[in-house]
Amino acid sequence: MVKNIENVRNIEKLKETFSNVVKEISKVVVGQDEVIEQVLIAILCDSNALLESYPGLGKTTMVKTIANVLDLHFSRIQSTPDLMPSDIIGTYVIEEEKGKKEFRFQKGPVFANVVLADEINRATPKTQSALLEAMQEKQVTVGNQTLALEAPFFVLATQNPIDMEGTYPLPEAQVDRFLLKILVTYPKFDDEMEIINRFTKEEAVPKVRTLLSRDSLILLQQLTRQVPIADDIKKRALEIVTKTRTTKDLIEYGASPRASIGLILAAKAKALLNGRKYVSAKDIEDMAYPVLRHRIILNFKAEREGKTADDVIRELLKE
Amino acid sequence: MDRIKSLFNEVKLEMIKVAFINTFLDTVMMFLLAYFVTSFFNIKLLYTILIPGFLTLVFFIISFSLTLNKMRLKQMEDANPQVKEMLRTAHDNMSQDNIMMAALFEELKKKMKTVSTGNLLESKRIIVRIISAVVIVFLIVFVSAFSINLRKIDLPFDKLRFMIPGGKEAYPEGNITDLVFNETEVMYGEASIAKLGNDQISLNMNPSMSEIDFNQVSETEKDELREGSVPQEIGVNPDAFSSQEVLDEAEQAANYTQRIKNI
Repeated sequence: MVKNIENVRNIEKLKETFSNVVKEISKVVVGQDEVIEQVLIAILCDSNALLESYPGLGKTTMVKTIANVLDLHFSRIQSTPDLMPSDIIGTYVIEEEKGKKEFRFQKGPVFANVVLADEINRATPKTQSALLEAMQEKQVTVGNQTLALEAPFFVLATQNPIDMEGTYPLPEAQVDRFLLKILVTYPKFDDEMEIINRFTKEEAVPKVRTLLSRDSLILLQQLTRQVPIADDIKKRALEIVTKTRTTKDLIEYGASPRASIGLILAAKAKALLNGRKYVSAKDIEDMAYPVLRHRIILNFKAEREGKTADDVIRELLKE
Repeated sequence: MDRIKSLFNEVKLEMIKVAFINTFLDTVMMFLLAYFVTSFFNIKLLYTILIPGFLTLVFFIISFSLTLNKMRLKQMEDANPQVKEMLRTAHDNMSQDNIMMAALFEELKKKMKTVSTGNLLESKRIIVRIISAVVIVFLIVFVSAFSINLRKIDLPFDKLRFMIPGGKEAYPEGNITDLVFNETEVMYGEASIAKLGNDQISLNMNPSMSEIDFNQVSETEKDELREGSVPQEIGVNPDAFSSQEVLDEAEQAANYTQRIKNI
């Protein structure tokens, strides 16, 4: 009972903790609080996120900073058309020890807690699919050996919406494995001024403190799943996802049941981040955009009208 | 979780209280209205209270049971939007027993302390009821004070005549009597007349009884007036005294005496 009360008190402090985490990350990343929050949501859900933005908006810096603040092992994969799956997963190398040669598995960059797959759409589908197992199963298979990845594990992939020549757009099956598609927008004028001030000084990159341990993060991931949700809010989430399949005048292909799971889970994580012990209807609506925008394919009519996925989701939410 | 269940029981009890207050106010209104309407009919006082009383009792039972049946957690949520989602979530996840639910319960407990059941009471509705009740009471008092009654309005059904004061006896066949003696009212005059009630009496007036028989008039007795022996029945009202009146009356008396002598 006493332990229970203690735990409840710790939960009361969660909001403050997350607020401190965001503040710490904001020391490096300016004016992207919403993006930071969504990345943290993906991490709390023990899932993956796809960051989309124009070049130079600090995606890599942001992910690296988050890894540092959360005490996570970070690795980066720069995707190119000639990137091979073994470059990601790892490969067997021959090692000679005491005159005896043997194969030893050399772990690839995927063996980390946070894997940043930069410009993922530049990698070939074969290489992209190498990430599939890691993203979904949290394990990799090399030859006849299956190796578990250290928890927590998540992939944060980035892609540019421009310069699409020579790219391999992610297949639908793989896109669906990303819990969120986060749009990183240009900073506001004042924020950009602050970025200039911070990064043109002698000490270009401000140092950040580690505020959460790996174990704490795993515990928080468990807590996220425990956040209770009311039946009618759950129903509302399901209705939103179902509408993406029935609104044929705008959407050609709707979201899968994985989207329903993702929407509820993301809403739970958002509630926890905001220090709430329950999911509100607003959490569902807020998370509908990043959860659904990459899971729906607009039809010709919607594209002809110049509508984006977000516009269509907005219409669905209004109904 | 048992603790959450008990919390919801408390919430339910509060809602029942509120439902009772609302229904009670409606019932008071109903009683006053019914009393006001029945007061226009020619009904005995007892029935003027019994009929509205019965009607309002039936109204209260039906209204209260309907309110209880309609009573949902949603009412509490609507009245207290700050705990709406929290209450609903706790309600839907009562069976779960984990740290998040425990934390939710603790927060809900704190919030419920600040949430007043008074929020459930619609102040506008209560004010309207009270004002209406006051207006009806004034109307009843006004009607009573100025004796504005429509007692001529009879009950529309003959079978209900027992409710009319006096019952059938008040309206004997062929005789419409305007005077209705009510034994409960205070009677002035001789009690024997009051006892007659509505019975017919025959009164015979004999005019000869009022004539004066001068043969039977005896001589006036002489009396010597002595000091201190003034007859008591002789007196003067000083307020009515007027020398002119005395002279006039003396002249009238002289004329009258003269006429008597001539007969």
